[in-house]
Amino acid sequence: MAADPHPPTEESPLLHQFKNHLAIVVGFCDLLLHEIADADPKHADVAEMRKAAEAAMALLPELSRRLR
Amino acid sequence: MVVDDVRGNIQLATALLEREGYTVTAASTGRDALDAVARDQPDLILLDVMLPDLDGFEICRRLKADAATRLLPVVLLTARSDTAARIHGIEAGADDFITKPFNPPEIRARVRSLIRIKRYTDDLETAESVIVSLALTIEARDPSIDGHCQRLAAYAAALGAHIGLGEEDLAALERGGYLHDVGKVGLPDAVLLKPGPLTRDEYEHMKTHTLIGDRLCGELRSLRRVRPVVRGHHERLDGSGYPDGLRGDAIPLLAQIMGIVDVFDALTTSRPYKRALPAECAYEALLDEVSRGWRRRDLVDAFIGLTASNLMPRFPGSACSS
Repeated sequence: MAADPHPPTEESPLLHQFKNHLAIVVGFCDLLLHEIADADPKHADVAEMRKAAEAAMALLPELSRRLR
Repeated sequence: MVVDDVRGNIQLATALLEREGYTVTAASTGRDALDAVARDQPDLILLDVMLPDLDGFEICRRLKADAATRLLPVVLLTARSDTAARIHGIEAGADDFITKPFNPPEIRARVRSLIRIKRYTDDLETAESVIVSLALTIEARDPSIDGHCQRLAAYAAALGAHIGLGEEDLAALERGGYLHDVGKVGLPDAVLLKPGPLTRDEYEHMKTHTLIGDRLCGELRSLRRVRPVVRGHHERLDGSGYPDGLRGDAIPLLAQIMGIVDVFDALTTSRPYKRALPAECAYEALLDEVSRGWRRRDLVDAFIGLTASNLMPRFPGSACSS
């Protein structure tokens, strides 16, 4: 069989798992934010959780460079 | 159906989609996913790329290679946003990509859009199966031609494969075998089932089945390659055929093939008014039609060669059964 001309880029399995877990946190935060009324104090708490998870995801490219 | 080896991802996608009213099933390995697709026939599959056994690209490739699952929309879920992974996914036949982390409005919109397309496709498939059923009702009305469509589909596809036609043409020949006489639904029993010879008027009426069939199939894009077979299988090279009196190469090749196998099957199976002829007599009749300038010699020779070498599919009660 001919070699695949476009093999997918490999990502560190550790980073992949990290990203996966953070994606789940962000996803559930989105769901909760959609369901909790803006005026509810819990809304701001969940928004903070989401912000933190997103900040952690933003660090992943840098982490990836340092791991190489 | 959601396929992911991380439980949290399955729970998240399920929560997102169930809130939209979808019923969600899940699998956590590639092999489980293939089994579940065959069992549950989902409307869409959200497929993680990195799985413990088969990866998402391979599962996607297998689903798209199988006629039964080819139209199932596959959305690849990937934590990677790089172009190479997307190209790899497109080559595997993926319909769309969603990059993790999920953006809920995005996943909802994409799933909704792909499921809408799937519904249209399902409707088209249903429409096509209605036309095929219609064609089979002809056999139900006229028990003397029982199995004719099935035999023509097999003979025409075998001849097409023998002369090196491509996959799409072979599929058109196979469908054409079932649909070539679909226009006969528009003929009254008095003409269709008449045991004796037709009067001139009745014969003119009979000839319209090619036009009626063409019109019936014309509504469906999926049957566009079959239409020339339905319309042109009674054309003759010298222009004496119907409905258009086409000459030579103006007659579509697939229609010429169907014409040959149609004559062969009509001669070699019994009817209330005639006995089945042996294959050798049918060969002679076909060669006679070649010498009259009705059929291409190379096609008739190829058909006879194939049948005489017992390479043609066999059916009980027909000349190809011995």
